[in-house]
Amino acid sequence: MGEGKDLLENLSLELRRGTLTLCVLSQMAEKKYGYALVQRLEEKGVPIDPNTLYPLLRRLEGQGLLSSSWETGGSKPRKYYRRTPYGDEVYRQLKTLWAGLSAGIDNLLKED
Amino acid sequence: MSPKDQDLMERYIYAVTRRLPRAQREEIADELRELIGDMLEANPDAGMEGVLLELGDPAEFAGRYASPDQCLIGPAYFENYKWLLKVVLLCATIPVFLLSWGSGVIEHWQDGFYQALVRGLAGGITNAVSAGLTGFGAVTLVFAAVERYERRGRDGKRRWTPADLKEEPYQPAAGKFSASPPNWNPSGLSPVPDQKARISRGDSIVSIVFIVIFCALLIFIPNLFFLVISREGVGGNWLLSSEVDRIPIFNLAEWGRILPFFVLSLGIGLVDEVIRLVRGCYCRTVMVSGIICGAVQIVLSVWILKCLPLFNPELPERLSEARETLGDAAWMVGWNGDLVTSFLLALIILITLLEVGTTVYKTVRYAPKTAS
Repeated sequence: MGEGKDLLENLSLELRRGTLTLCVLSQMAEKKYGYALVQRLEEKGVPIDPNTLYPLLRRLEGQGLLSSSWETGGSKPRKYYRRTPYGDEVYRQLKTLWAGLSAGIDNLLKED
Repeated sequence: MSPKDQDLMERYIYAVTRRLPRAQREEIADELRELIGDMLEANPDAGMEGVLLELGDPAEFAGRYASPDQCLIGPAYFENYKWLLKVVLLCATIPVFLLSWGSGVIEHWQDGFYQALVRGLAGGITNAVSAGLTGFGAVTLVFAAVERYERRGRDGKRRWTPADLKEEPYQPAAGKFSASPPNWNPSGLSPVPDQKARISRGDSIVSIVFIVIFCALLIFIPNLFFLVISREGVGGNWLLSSEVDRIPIFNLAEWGRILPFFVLSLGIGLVDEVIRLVRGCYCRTVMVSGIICGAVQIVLSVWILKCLPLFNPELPERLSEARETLGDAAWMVGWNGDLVTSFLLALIILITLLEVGTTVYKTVRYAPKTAS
């Protein structure tokens, strides 16, 4: 029985993992810092663990989709991320891809 | 934040960052301090322990920062690696163990049966473990190198810049769920080889096994190859008796100089056999490999037999001593060093030429025309 639960968990993880980048990129038009993003995604109904989000942000920055800067103005130093123009372009195209994909999947699921 | 909390946080951060590359440590440590501080503010009831619990195992956290593609030996080669590892380990350890043990028993025979058995066993185990580890290391190294080389090639082919995105109209690959890389298409498939062109897998495996065993023996128990001279004359329990001299055939004093070339020559033979095994049929690759390996092996044989002191320098002396005690049987015992090496060299060259000749003939005659 435990095995079944693990399998479902793994499959769910796989499903969500594919869409993470799109979800994150969607919120990065303006600069945000890590935990604010965690909270916002949770509010919007797509919760994501901080220990998944932070490495992802780093990776997206490495790929040129985001840029970061440390700001020391407030009570403590914070790292802010935002989309680069390249990131904007990729986001736009991923968004189109998603529309097509989800329509297709909805179609499939409707038949059941 | 209380000092206790501070300490706990720093311990966690250290546990995560020590597993990360040096260049990233400081920045990620700062990010983590920021994150943990925020989480604590948002959930004061949870306390530092609660927050750290939510972040989870630091080793796992550190793992998520790593690039997802890293593998010593990737899935494409892993099956082959496992298979070759099994073959090499079996061929290296079992014969070395048995022969080492036997060799040790014979050496210590004078000390009594059980003594000999036990001392031989110790030697056998040590040598077998060394042979096993060496084999494991060699195979792993080769496959890791292949994986690294392949990955560099793959990355190089696909490198593109943001400029490419803007130029071509993007076609969403809706419905194309295939995971295979784009740089392959069916016209790259080689034609099925003619029955006569196929190389028997069994043959190749047997050759590989023998080469590995021979190599292992040469490296770990070269004194196994010995001639026996009985002081009482031919006959009697010659293997175990104390009236017998066991004279190593090879020049063990110079073995450090000779062994590398010997192993190199065998290694080249091994590479050729592996190529034949992988391709499975006669084709241009197999032919070229056969010619090159054959040529190199001949050169190395000349070097080993004619230029290096391969054979034990004491042999002629000891054998001529023995000759005196043998009377009638004296014709069996003689050692003309030049004659022996020339004979062996001629034999090796003949066999190599035959093999290469056969390979070339079969390739030219039977190989599929369009394959490489």
